[in-house]
Amino acid sequence: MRRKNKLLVASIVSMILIGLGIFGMANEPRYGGTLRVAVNEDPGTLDGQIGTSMTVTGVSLHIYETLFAYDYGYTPIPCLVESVDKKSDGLEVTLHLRQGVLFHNGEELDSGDVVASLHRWGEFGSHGPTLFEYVEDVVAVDEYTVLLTFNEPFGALESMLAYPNGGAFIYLQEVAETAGGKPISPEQAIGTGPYMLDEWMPGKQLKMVKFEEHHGDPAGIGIGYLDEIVYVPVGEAQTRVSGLLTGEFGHIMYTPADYLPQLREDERVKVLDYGYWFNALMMNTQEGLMSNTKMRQAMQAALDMEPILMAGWPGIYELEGTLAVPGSLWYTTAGTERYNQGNPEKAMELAKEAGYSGEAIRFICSGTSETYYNGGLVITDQLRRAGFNVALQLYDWPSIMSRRNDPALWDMFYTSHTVKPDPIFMAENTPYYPCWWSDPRAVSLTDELKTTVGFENRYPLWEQLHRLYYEEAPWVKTGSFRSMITTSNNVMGFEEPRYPPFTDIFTYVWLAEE
Amino acid sequence: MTAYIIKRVLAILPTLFFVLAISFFAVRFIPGDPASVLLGDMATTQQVERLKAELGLDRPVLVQFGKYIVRVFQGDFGQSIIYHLPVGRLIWSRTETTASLAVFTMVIILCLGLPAGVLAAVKPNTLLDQSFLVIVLCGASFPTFWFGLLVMMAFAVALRWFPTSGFVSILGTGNLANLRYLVLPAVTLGFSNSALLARMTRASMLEVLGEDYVSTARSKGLRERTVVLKHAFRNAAIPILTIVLFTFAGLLAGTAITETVFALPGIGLLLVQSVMQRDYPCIQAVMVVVAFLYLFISLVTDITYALLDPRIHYGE
Repeated sequence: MRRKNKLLVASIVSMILIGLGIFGMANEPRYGGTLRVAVNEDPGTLDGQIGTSMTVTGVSLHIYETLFAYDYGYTPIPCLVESVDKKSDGLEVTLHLRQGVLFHNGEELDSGDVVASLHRWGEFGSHGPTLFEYVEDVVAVDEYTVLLTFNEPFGALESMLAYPNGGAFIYLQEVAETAGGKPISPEQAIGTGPYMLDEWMPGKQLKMVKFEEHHGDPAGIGIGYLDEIVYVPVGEAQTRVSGLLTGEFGHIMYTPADYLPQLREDERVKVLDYGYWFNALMMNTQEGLMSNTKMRQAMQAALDMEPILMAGWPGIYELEGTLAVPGSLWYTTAGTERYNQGNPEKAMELAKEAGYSGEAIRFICSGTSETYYNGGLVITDQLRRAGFNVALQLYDWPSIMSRRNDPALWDMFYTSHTVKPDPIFMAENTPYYPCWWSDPRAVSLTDELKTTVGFENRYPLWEQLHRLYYEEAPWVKTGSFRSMITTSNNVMGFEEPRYPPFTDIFTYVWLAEE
Repeated sequence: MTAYIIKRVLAILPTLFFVLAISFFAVRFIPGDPASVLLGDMATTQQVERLKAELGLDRPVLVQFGKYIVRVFQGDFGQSIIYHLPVGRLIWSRTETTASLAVFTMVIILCLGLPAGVLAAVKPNTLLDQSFLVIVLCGASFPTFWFGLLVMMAFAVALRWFPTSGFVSILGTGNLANLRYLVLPAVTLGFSNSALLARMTRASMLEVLGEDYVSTARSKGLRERTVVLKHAFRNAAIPILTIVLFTFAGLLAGTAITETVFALPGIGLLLVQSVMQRDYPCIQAVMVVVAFLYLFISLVTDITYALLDPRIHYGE
């Protein structure tokens, strides 16, 4: 009997150990497989330096690399750079490149590629000109060394070189030198990233395959476990959701919030919290009604944010006035006592002080995106109830982007932005972004942020700028919302994201065995 | 007849030029431009203007049109601004999807619509006829968008009989099983269009069945099937043929809503995507192709009338 009990116990323990082993293996990254991803639109271009749509950024993050890359906490980590030497006055920065890094065509990355890419990005890239305002020159010292010289120290260099949206992606020298301001062609989409472009059938699919000679994972954002990643443009949200439920897609992007409750209840898929975005009413500070600070403050005072967020971002919104990620280093509440006032009487008083006499407030909003449309309707209703004459103008997104470039055509438009890892990335506070806010105090603070070194010195400047946003209201934040991952149950890795939520990135995900 | 056909073919060219001109100017006068789309939301005004200059979009519209027309007469409809591909190649790459869907849908329309219309006409004011009218009303009332999603959720998501979206080439793979990608879109399109055909067939047949020669045919002792199909249907065919051919033209031109719902990479979806991205060369070329299809089908319809009805002569 005793012997039988011993055998029984030994069998149970063995089974437990085997089960734990299997469980452990199931959580280990597994190589192989194809992930089909449904996106709402084709990327349109594969030029990550100048294209700023999130789909372009997403594809670019697989094909190309930057000199630095972010971890999930927005800390820039060396990626194509091995080490950095900075002169004490901050006017010279020497980048020592990793050696043996190959492009997808087999050529080795060298300083010529980096110099040419940075020059092109500095002139034509989305954020390049912000950095290059302070750059004297970028030269190759030797095959693997690049020297940047500055006319003033730049306080967020690594972050600027890591930022992916319109970022400093490194191209082949001959591509960067000949591209100019036009987007590069698909044939020129050759990078050093863990995936290379295999085929792009516009409107049908974009396929990337694993680059077997990738140099590794120095920045910790994944070396690519999947064999293939296939982006399929599926414009209709219900079709994307249906494809996820049937398993035709392993992952879908841009899922409207009202589908999330259904997906959360389905055992075939998972919905994961990824990070923050925020939405805001951008004001035309250059011309028209909103060039008057009191009118902008009136808009800020009038709005009760919760109904707006419930309409546009049900279940994923946060009533939060800060422009930084809560809990992050840059978190501040300076000025946020002006957030979410919901005071129509005060709004009308401010408007009267501004001399408002019932003119139509031209409010541009998307008619094709459910989130903005619903939120925009509630904003319009609230302002009209407060006594404002609002002319709601609904357009598709290309029309909005075109019309907002003409200050004679609008007073406010509604949009969303990612939370930026550093205040200098907030294009919204530059005189160039369509709200054209050129308050000398803001310009001065932003310039100081760029040229001040050390977080402890830069944070007080950010607090001042944050308070100024709320005092001057060049844009009115309506709230934050969570960016959600919607993926199949067998897609693993997103539980511990390794990259900030600019867009979904698959370099660190794998497919569990079904 | 030959002279008539030649005259009609020659008349197509100025019509196509007119369509090209209209589409060229129309897209440039609606808000939005390809530079803004390419650069995205965070682009500054200066960056957009600079790219527009690089793309030649800052020149006067008439200058742009002149250069474009010169290239068109050389057979060059331009390159997609967004995709860097010749637009001809882009359109050709979408043709199989749209043509396959059009043919498949027409089979459904003819198999459902014609028999239903004939039966309803032969048995007017019966339960069969009333039921038919209800179905026709539903077909005409259901929005394609809504019906397509309903069909998708039932047969793709719940029953898993068919895929939800996409298309795999039948010609490229040689695999007829890929027709399964077209079943749900074809049913979506076929339901409403077969209802329309059935209604027209019923109306046309009722008119003909009341004619004296039909009564004569019956009194001669001919079988009812012969009376209906050989005598009545042939004479009712001309208006029915018009509906069939123009429905086919519409399907060949691409059905934007159905292709969007089912993510079918056809000509209709290409037009929608091009408009959303303000891809001017693509929009213009697709409009010309669509116009050509309608003009061609119109010519074929007229020729078919003459074949069906010996009383019809052209060019005399």
